Amino acid sequence: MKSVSFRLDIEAERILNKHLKNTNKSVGDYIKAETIKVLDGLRQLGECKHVK
Amino acid sequence: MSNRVVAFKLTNKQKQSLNNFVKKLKITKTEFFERLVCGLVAEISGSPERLQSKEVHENVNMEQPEILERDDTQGQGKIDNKLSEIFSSESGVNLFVNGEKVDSAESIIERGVTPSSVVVMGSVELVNAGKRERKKKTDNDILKLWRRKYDHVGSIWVFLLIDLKKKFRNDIPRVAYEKLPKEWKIGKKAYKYHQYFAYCEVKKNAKGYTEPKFWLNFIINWITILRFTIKCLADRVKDTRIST
Repeated sequence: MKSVSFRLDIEAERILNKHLKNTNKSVGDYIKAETIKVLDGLRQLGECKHVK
Repeated sequence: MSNRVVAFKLTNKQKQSLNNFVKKLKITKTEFFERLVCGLVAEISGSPERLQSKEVHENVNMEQPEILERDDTQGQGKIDNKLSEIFSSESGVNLFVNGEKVDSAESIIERGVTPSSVVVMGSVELVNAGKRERKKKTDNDILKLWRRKYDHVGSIWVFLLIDLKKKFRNDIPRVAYEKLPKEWKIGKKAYKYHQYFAYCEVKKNAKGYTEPKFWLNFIINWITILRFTIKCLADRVKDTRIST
């Protein structure tokens, strides 16, 4: 289990909460999904060969 | 400012990738997540300005953006008019052959490049114009544009330079990865660490793009076949009547 912390300003928190409420996701699920997306993207970048 | 703490599971491989990534960017994991969340909030709200949050950017030592200048040079080529068209294009396209910027159709031909192996590179700027604008510039319209320009070529490679402006640089892989259509591949690197190549082989009737003329041709062909059949049948009926 990885625990992460980050700072958010009030407005950002409001936006994030509103979005999560609409999507029925928890903050943890959301951040995890996005982190995995980034990591998958990085993995793909690593696999891509140099463009000639 | 509030301090949020969230917990989730990552596989060992994912943890390792994350560690490598933050090491490469010379940032802490907290910074990584702050930037990620900041990027997400900016995207949700549709206001890229949110990425300029002072708290997030204060420790970031970014290079000044080096935006490739638009090449508006009018093509001088007489060999292939279609090839020259891109030089007068309004789509902000720069043409590169083997990494070398070329400014006329002749210079392409001089390099021994035939139209079918032309490498076209346009620059997609994921800029601060708002979500809708950014999306508009990176969707399949680009493929359509190139297909239209190179209708005479069976298959071409289109290279796009993704140049993330400062506001989006904290989020390169995610932005680049998400904004491009699935059939596009993202290359490893370009000139600067904030620039990536995206490339895609564009074939006729490539997935995600339907040739506009295809359906028109399809209908016309069928109308022709039907007309021919009706004519034949009518002639036969006429012949039968005459013979009786």
